[in-house]
Amino acid sequence: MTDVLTARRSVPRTTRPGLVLAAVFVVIAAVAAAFPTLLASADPNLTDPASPFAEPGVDHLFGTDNLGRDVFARVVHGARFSLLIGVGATVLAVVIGTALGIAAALGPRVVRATLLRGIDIAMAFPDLLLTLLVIAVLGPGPLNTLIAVALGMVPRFARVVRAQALPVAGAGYVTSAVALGTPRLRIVRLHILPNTVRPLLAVATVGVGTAIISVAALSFLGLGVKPPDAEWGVMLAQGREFLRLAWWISIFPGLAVAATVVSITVLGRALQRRNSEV
Amino acid sequence: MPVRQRLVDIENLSVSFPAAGRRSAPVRAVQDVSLHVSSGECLALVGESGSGKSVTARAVIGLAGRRADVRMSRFHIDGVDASSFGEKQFRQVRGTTVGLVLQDALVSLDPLRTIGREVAEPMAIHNTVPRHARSRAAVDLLRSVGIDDPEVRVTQISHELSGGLRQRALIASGLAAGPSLLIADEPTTALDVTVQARILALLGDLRDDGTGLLLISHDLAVVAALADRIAVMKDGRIVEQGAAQDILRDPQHEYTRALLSAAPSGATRGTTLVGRTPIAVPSAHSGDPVLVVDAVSKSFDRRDGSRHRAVDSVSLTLRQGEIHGLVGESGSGKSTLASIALGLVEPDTGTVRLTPPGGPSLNWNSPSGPGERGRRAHRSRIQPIWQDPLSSFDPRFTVANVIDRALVETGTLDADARKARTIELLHQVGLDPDHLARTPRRLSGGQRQRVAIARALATEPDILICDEPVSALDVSIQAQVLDLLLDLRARTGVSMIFISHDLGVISHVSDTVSVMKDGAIVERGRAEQIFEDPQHSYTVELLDSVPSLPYPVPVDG
Repeated sequence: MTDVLTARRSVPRTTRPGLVLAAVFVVIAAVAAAFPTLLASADPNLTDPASPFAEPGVDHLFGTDNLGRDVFARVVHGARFSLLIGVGATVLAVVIGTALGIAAALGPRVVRATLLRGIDIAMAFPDLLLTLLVIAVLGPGPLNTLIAVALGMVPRFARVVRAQALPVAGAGYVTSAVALGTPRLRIVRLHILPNTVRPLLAVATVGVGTAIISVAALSFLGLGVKPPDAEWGVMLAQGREFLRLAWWISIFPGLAVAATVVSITVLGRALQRRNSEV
Repeated sequence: MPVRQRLVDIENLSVSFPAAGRRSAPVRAVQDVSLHVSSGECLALVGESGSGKSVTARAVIGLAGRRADVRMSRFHIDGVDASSFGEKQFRQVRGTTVGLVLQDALVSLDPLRTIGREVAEPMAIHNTVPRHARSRAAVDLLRSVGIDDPEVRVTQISHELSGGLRQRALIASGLAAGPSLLIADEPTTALDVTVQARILALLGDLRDDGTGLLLISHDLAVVAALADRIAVMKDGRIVEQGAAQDILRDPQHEYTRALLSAAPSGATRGTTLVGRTPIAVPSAHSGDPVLVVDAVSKSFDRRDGSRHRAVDSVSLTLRQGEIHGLVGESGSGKSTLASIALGLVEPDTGTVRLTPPGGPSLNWNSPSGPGERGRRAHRSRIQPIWQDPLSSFDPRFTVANVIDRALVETGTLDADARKARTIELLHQVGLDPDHLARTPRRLSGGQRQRVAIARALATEPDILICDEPVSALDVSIQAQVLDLLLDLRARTGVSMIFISHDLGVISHVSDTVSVMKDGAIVERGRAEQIFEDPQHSYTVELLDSVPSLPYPVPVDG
């Protein structure tokens, strides 16, 4: 027997190390948000006039800031604001975006046209600009930050939901449900919503990353969380003045934002890939 | 008889693919296949999906795929030992010695290139025709495969052509570099019968002019007219190979016999296709009308803004217990008519009336009609069965969910009673309770269609609208599903509108038949009358185009 074409070994699928790293970091961030004292025993708001600008070392892992507060403790405690507002804003945006997206896909003609144009116009502005607009109306503060960040993301989600809902609404199983005499709202609840939202979850996960950046950006601008509360954006803003003198004050919260966003995005992309393979 | 050159000669071909998962074994797609094709001869490779026929054909031109493990004890192409050919040598052979024509012309032709460039490409690759003469040669080639106005066609791109023209262009491209052997993989499968007949005639002419043909098909009737020899494949092996008339007249292998006898036709009416036992056919045609379609028309806007009349004042009456066959080619309006009958699309004019047993007839679908709210209460009376069952199931649902939905929507049973009824319905369509927890994605095509039928039966309908219900199935599975539908009719007295492009299927199942063309019914009557004494010229053409088996089918026992 002759080998005409030799088989090429198929590469076994392994879990990529980056994915594991991302998952581990997200778990750490979640623990920091829920039980910050587990990771950092120091009080994040305890000032120590005796040791301002201490370099990172054994006493203070990430050093201290201008008021002698422990930067590590502040970074750990800051996770709560960033994650809570980031996740909360995304959830709110998904709920509103899904409602608008479904209405823009299946509603009466007038509703469809109005929503679609509205979404188009809203998407012409950068997310952050929309968010700032809402803050300008509502005023600063943590809860308003959440609402503003959520509203900034709504147009994007609504667009995704609409694009997803259109083919689902024309799918064979929806026609079959009509032929069984299923009322319209029940078809939306039983078939259209679940099959539309499932792919959205991956998009939403990536959205959490963007939301965290928005939250930090608002706080950095002084429109979100107010000092002295430990929040990553606030810390970045405060440390900026001392960047040449004490780099660690703003570098570590900056790294925390970057690592969290990258990790969440990596996980979200992995979810998207898995969805598209099925 | 002149000495014929063996164009391809292959012995003990085996092809296997590496295992998909870590635990599964390698897939042995083809095992111990030996075949040869000479010039001016047609060998037909016949088998159902997954039988390995396409992999065999691809291995002949070195296209089995990079992951394939291909072995054989002897492999000659045009007298040259090809067993150690690499990609480079194969590339020289493809087009010039062996041409390949694929099934789906829309996918196989480059959507951005003109037909002329597509056809001239093999000439350019192998430099068989000098550059300045190529466009002339492409026109000549298109003319030779029976394309009218070839000068215009060479400037068009694939989606501007009809399916038949695309398939011809694809054949022209396969012939462009003058191969002595043409491999045609299901060349007519997606085509209407009248177009299929013309493509088969074209392939016959090529063979008579000395081209060797390796014809791959799932349909014995299609190859019957063309093949000199037939090889029947099953599970990667050739189970029977020999002269075409011997195979068709006196098949030795039981699988060949099963394939032949599973083909529905007028001769199989009144019997099951599996086992050929008699099946009850209602003798009277005097049942009460259950569905009356009265002068229904429907137009759609075309993309260019013009109106297209999909259905043009069609009337028909479906009686209790009757199977009404609706036959026509693609674009004839069959499916639009089905949607109107189902109340999924409202007609522009005309009325559909539904008569529940023992009740007064009611306005089911009309422009002034009851609307979806008015229809909902009667939806259980009329149920669809579609060509692609998988897309009609919510991808998140298991078989149990699918049938349970139908029971919830149209009945008043409690959860326990619904579960019992679901099992009963599955049993009725020949599935066991093991299938309940599976998603339809993990069922075979035949099993999926059975689930779809079970769902339709869950509402205890009076009428089933079957739109090409067996067109995507292999002939042996098609036989089982047709047997099931006829058995259901005999037991429950359900009426059906049965839509198909396949006249064999229609003449097997139908009591009455309507022939549709361009949105209108051109002829209607009893099935025997239509098939034995067609009146309309289009019906005659349709019947003449149907490939048929030349010998009566041998029946076991």
